[in-house]
Amino acid sequence: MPKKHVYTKDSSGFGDFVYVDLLPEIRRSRQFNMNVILALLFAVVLGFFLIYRPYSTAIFELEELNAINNDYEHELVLTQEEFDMYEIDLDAIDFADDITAANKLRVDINNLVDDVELKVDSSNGRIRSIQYYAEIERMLVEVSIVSQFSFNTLNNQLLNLPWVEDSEHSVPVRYSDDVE
Amino acid sequence: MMLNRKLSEYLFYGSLVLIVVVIFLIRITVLGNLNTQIDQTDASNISLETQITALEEVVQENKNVQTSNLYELYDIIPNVYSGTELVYTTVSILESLGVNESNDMQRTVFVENDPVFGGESIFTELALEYHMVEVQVFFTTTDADVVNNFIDALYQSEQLFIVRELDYNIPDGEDFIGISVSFLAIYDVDIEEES
Repeated sequence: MPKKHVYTKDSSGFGDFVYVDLLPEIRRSRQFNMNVILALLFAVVLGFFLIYRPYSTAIFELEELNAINNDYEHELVLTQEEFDMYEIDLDAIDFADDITAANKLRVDINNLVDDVELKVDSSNGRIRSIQYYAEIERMLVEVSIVSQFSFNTLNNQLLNLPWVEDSEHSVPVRYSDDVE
Repeated sequence: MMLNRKLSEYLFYGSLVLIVVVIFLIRITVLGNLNTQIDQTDASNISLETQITALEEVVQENKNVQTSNLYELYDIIPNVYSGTELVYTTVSILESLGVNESNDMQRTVFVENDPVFGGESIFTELALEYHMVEVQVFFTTTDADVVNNFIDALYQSEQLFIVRELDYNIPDGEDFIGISVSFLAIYDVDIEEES
């Protein structure tokens, strides 16, 4: 809708001037423009503090971690090469260790019996029986000797053997001149 | 005009709320992904560090260890089990010592595939790792050396044999005396695989 209507008439009456403002009156919303600017500013500030800064910090941290990761991977490759260079066979080593451990469970029984036999022979006795039980780590050696005196000597000698825990005797039985 | 101004204000505040929501969504999405990557990389670093440390320790501990090859170790603890072969091995040892199948000798060899070990047995731990069988041997002899030699043969055998029980009276050279020996043989086979 035109805002202004101007009609002028000159003094001679020949040249009338008519001014018509055909443009509508538009009242611009300054408040709206300010709101848009404020909203954009708000978005920028919020985006800066809530997105950009944490994002850049996180990116920096990630890059540092990636750098460390690359170093570790390289170090692992080098260590693996060193491992390969020494031709270390872990299965064989573990297996050998197990064999060593198992080997310790077997006992050289004859060697132990020989220890006893040497003492018994020197006391004119003889080994009568041998019992060995690996699970309870016990060996029972029964010997017979000819005199009570010999028993005392033999008993002391046997107890001096590092692997002998106990030595005992039964009541002597007289067989002519022997003590058994 | 008042309506338009109010509408404008509503739009403004609505826009602010929308901006906050959108920014938080972007933040959650972007930083969430980044934090996930950071956590994964961090975990990867810890894992790599552990691997490197473990590998370095293994290298340092074993770089000078001289060990036999596996196939040589399998001579001591075989990786194949055969009860029949074990019986033959035992019999061959006995035969080499003169313990034959004659009635006087009363030789018997029995293989127990599933020996039972008590909770406090020294073999319990080994039995968890390896398959253990028990060979029960009985024979009679008049010669104490036969027993000694049999025990020596078991002790010095290339295959690992462990005497479990031994019970005998020393023969005095006149009467046949019963000798009871049981020993364990160890195999590196899965219990499910062997038959």
